[in-house]
Order: sequence, then C-alpha cells, then structure tokens
Amino acid sequence: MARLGLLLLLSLMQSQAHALINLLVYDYPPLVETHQDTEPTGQVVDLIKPLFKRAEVPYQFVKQPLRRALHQTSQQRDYCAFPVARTQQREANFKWIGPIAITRHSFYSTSDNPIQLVTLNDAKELTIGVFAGSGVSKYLKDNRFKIYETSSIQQGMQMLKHRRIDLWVTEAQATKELANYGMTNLNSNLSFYTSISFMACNRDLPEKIHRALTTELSHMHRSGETQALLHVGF
Amino acid sequence: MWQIAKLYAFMLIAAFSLMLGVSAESKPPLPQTIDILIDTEFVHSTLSPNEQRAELNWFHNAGSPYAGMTIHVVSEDIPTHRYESDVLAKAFYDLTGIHVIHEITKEDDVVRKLQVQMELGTHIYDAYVNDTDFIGTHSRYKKTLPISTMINTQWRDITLPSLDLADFIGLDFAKGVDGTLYQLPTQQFANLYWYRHDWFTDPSLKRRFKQYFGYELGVPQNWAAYEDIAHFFTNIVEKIDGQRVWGHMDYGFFEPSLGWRISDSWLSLAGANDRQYQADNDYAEYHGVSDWGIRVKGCHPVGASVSRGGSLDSPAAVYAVNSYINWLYEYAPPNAVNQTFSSSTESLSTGNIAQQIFWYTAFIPKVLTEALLDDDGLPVWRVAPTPRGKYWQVGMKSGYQDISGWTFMTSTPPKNSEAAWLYAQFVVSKTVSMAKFLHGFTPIRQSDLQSDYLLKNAHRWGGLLEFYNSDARNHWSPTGLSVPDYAALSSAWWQHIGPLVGGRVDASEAMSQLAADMDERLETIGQNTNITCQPILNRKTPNEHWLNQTGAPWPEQKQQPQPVTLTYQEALSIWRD
Repeated sequence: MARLGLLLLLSLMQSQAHALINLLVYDYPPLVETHQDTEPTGQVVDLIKPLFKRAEVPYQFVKQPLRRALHQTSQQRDYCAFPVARTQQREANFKWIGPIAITRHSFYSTSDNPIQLVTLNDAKELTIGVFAGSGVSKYLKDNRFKIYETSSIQQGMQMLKHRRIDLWVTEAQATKELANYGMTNLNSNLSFYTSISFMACNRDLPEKIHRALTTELSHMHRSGETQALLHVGF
Repeated sequence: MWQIAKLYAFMLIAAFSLMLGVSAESKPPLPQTIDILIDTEFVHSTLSPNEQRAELNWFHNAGSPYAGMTIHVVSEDIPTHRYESDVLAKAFYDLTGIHVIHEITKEDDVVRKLQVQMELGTHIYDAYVNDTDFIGTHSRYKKTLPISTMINTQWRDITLPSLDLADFIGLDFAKGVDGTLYQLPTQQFANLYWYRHDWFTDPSLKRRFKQYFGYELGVPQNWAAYEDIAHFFTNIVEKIDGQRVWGHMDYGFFEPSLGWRISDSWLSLAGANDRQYQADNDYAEYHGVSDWGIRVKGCHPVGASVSRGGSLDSPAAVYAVNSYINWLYEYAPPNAVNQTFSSSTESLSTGNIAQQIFWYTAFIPKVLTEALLDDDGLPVWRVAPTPRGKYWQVGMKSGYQDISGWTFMTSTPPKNSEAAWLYAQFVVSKTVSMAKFLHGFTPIRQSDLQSDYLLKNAHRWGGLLEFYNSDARNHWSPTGLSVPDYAALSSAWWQHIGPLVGGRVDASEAMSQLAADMDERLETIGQNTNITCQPILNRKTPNEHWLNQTGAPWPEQKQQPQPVTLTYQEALSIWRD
C-alpha cells in the first residue's frame, strides 16, 4: 500500500512538472552510438542529457530506426527523435529544438580503390552508399546522384568492402567510429555537405516543455558550453 | 580548326586519365585551360577573347596564395546556381587550384544555416548566396562583412580590376540603411505575369471572350481582368485541342515556401502599402508603410498591425489573401493546393495553363520545353507587367524581384573569406556572366543586357529582356529595409497562411493573427540593444486612428474596378515608359 502511495505521489509530482518524453535515437556515430544494454552515448547525447536535466524534463531513450522514429514522433504526443535534418518538407510536421549538431559529410573509399574528386560533380558517375533517411541521403537524391541507401553502417561497410558501392558517406571525422566496424583502410575523398541537426518533437508537445528546452539550449549555446559538442567534423 | 583540335586532344587526355582514375588532378597547362574555357564554355561575353584571357589570368595569379584550400559555399536550388556548382566551381579550380564545394539546397535550409552562423557566431560556410531580402538584417546586425569597405581595405589586392560594380543592375538593393554594400549580386529574377500568347491571340478564343465579357482578351492590367480570364479558361473554354486547360496556376502546400507566395510582395501588388521608398532618398528620413505591411519611422520599424500604423491586417491585405485563396480553389487545377513553390513550376511546362499572375522568371528554363515552343523554336508564352489589385496606386511597388548576393560573415576565418571572395567574383565576372545568363536567365550586368548577342536573341525569351532593359526592373524590388530580421520574422507567414488555405480560419482572422504575431516578433527583436535601427513599436490605438489618416493603411474600398486589358505591345509600353 505504501509502495502504491509512493508511486501515486511520484506520478502526481511528475504530472505537475513535465510528462516523460520518449527520445527516439538510432545509431549514427559520432553523434549517437547505441548499445545493447546501456544508454546511448555520443556527442549529441552528451548535449541532450544535461539539456533535459536542467530544463527538468524527464526522459527515456528508445532505440529505433530513423524512418520509424520520425513516423512515431509525428503520431504520438510525448515523443521526440534526434538527430534529424530539419528539411523544408519536414518543417511543418514537427516542433523543433536545436541546433544540436553541425556536421560536415565526406565521401570515403577504400584505399585499394583510389578515387580523386575535385568537385561534388565528379562523384556523379559513382555509386554512393548512404544511411537511409538521413539528410545527406535526401540531398544526394535531390541532386540526382546514384545512391544506395543502407539501413545500417555495417551494411554500408560490407558493400564498400566488396565494391558494390564506390563511396560511403559519413561525417568528416567518423573514421574512428568506422574502425569499430573493421574498416581501417579508408580514404576521405571530399567533404561536400554540411548538415545542421535538430531534435524533432511531436507538434502537440506541450508549449511549456518546448519553451523550457529551447530556452535552456539557447543559454547553453550562448555560454559557449556547447561549442565543442555542436561543431563536429570541420 | 586549331581550337577544335586542341579541345579534342584535351578530351582524349581527359578520357584516358579518367580510365586511370586520376581525372580530377590531371590538368592541361594554364594557357591551354584558359583557351579551352573561352572557346567552349565562355563563348559569349562582352569582353574580347584577349580581355577574357586577362581576367582569367588575373584569377590564376590572385588565387595562387590560396591554391589547395577547400572552401564551402551554399545557395538555393535554381538553374543558375546549378550551373555555378556543376560547371563554374570546376573551372575555378582549374584556374586557381582552390576547391569549391558549392552546395545547392532548399532556400529554407540556406536561411537556417545563415541564421545559425549569425546567431551562434559559429563558422559554417565561407560564403552564402543569400537573398537581398536580408538587407534589413545585414544592415542592422553588423555580423556581415561590408563589401564596399572590404574592397578598399583587406580585399583591395584580391578585387578584380574589371569587376565594375557600376555595371551591376541590382546593386542598390544590396545596400544597407547607410548605403554600405553588404551583398554582391550573383543572380536576379523577377516575379512577372506569365501567359499563353498563342491562346490570347487566337481569333476564335478572342471572339468568345469578347462575346462573354464585352471587352478584349488581352494582358490583364488589374485583378478584375485577371479573374475574368481565369474564369474564361477554367470554366468556359475548359478544353483546347482535347486537353483540359486552366485559367490560373498557384500553390498552397503547408510548408515554408507557402509564406513566400504572400511575403514576396503580394500585399504590395494589392496596394496595401505606401508609395515605394526610392533608394536615392535618405532612408533615415523615411516615414511610411513598406514591405510586409511594416510601418517605418526614421529607419525604425514601428509595427505591422493597423493598430500600430502598419497594414498587415488592413482591408487591402485581407483583400490580397482572399483573392489568392479564391483563385486557388476556383480556377487552378485541383492539385495546385498540394503543390509547393518548386513543384508548381512543373505544371506550366505541361502546356495546359493559360496564365499565372505570380511567376518567377528563374523558371524560364522549365518553360522552354517542346510543349511551349512553336515550329520555329520560339516560345508561345510571354511575360508581362503584373496585374495590380484594386488598392494599387501609381508610385507603389509594382512587383517582386529576387536578388541573391554573395554574403560574407564576420565569423568566417579571413583567409576563407578571401578565397570565397575570389570565387564570388569569378562567377559574376564579365568573362562568365553572359554564359551564366544563357543557362539560368538571371541577368546581373547592364553590359550583358545591352550586348548585341542578347538583344538579337531577345525574342527567344518571351519578354524577359524587354523587362530587364527597362526602368521597370527598379520597381520590381526585393523585400526592403523595413524588415529588420528576415529569418526571425519569415516563418510567421506560412504558419498563418497555412490555416487559411486549410479553411480553418478566414482571411480576416488569418491576417489579424499574423499581424499580432509579427508585432510580437518585432518587439522581441527590438529588445536586442546591439542592433541599429531596431524596432520601436508604436502604442496600440483603435484601427480607425490610422485608417482615417492619409496614406497606408488604406480604408476599405468596396467599389470593384472595371477590368482592363491591353495588347502585348501596349503592355510592354508600360515598362518602356
């Protein structure tokens, strides 16, 4: 009975403060690295955790592929997803919090497949592997590049290794993370696309929570605290 | 013949190099590179080949301290910028050894990236191709390098001697409150009236129109005539050669580009504002209602709502958006409401639209398609002066013009800005500018517009040259200095017009909510003590106080004007005069 009372009290306290927000994340190193049994890590996670703590908004992480994460976030009130490219197409579908990362993407090839690129246009004849649903994937598609979308980094690395794609696209300083997938012989060819990531939240996210988070993030940006975390791969 | 042989030899080398996988780094010697560029890419220019050689050599020499650098620049997605990104960036590398990553993205994304760099002071790009709609922002925030100062100081030795700023037709729109140049125009396009000249001159269609409406089918001069013509093609003619035709095209999808449909001077065309501010007057002395219905007093925005002296929720503004909504639902194809700024442009190329009141000339490449060319390969369409709404008076703004300029932030490392400045000058140089025009039809130089080559070919572009060779180009203007922070204010447009398109509010409610939101945002901007000419809002008064005074906001005008049409030649005389 005492335990039930405590739960009720906690629940009441929570409802008076803020509702629990489900933060949907996917594996996207170095911004987010998901793990089997522990909380995700990564540069954006290092920014998000203190942000929610200081804004006093309770949260829990839930691992989910990006496309499904965006769909669920658009449908359910207390859901947010990150990192997300804030495209013109998506703009009206979510409430946004950010920026939470500024990243520059590069093409990578294996060292036994030397490819020299001067401008982005030089890659038009090549097959490019890219993470499905990402902003850079959309960018390359819109610009009529030959792309192959993969659902995981492992899949992309395997395809690169076996020459089913010529280039893999990821953040300009992701080689350390790619080494975790057994890829140590990569050449960075050309940094070509800059992306600003945001957190996308359901449009009905209470205004009070949205304001608390954006105000706190703005404070963190102004104080310079987020500079190192925000600016990745330049 | 020798030039062609040289070109083939180079192509052979290039193809061979490509097979070896070393294409990009293998380059012919500089003189050969320059000759190939002049002979194959920059064929049309107001400069002689020797003068072009001198310019390109200058870029090579000026760029040598920066060779090996990679710079990142970003612009919106129109054919002109695709040409810069796909062709000119590579040519610039061949001349200078400077890698240019010229990203093409959606306009909204360009704005956000610029906004983040300005607000956080975080270096993201080395230069932005940013609309001069931001001039009120750049002028006030002082986070943008003043080009007119830079070219006489730090950039003196890397400024092209033949840049010839006086030759740029859009320069005045890139100058701030104090006359400082903040942006170097790299392309500009106007929002004009577009129509099917072949249908409008077809005797049987003309006869039917006159029988029904009692006046000639022709280029509409006001919204009353535009509406009649829209009704005629959509509901009376219905089919031409068996194909369903429409008297109007527009877009209404709920996303940021919906805002531009109204914010790009639609209220000015209705006649919501005061007479246009002239660049040769002292802006600090200006009092009146200008772009976005914002009243300005001595360079300070003082409010957008009628209650504060603005015109954003005035009878003229409500009339403007009501006309937009009514025409969208009554005369445009049913799918228009689900179209965006970009996707709606595809509709004209299918050949079933009779006219479009709000059409950007940047999309000329999309209407030079087979369906819209006659047997001689000439366009069956024309562009003409935009019809005006019933509140419009002589001296008011006549339309919108989009001018994009190279823009450099103070937060970019100086060496990166310098290399980017060289690239910016290259893509607007006299060697390049006419070739660029022929790919995107967005002229920037008076010398090109008056060149024999463009004048001889003017009939191929349906009236575009006639517009740009007239004084009208000064009256179709970008968003001006009354908008103090474009990025902070612009989202209000689509967020409030969306519910109107969706039928959740009426035009009066939408504009009243938009005006209140705009005032609130202006007030927030005004709290920033670090900007100049900051908003200082007027106190709220009953609307009658302002509506009863001379000038905008104008009181309600119930009378409907008589529809007026002109022949194409008569309509062009408006530009000539």
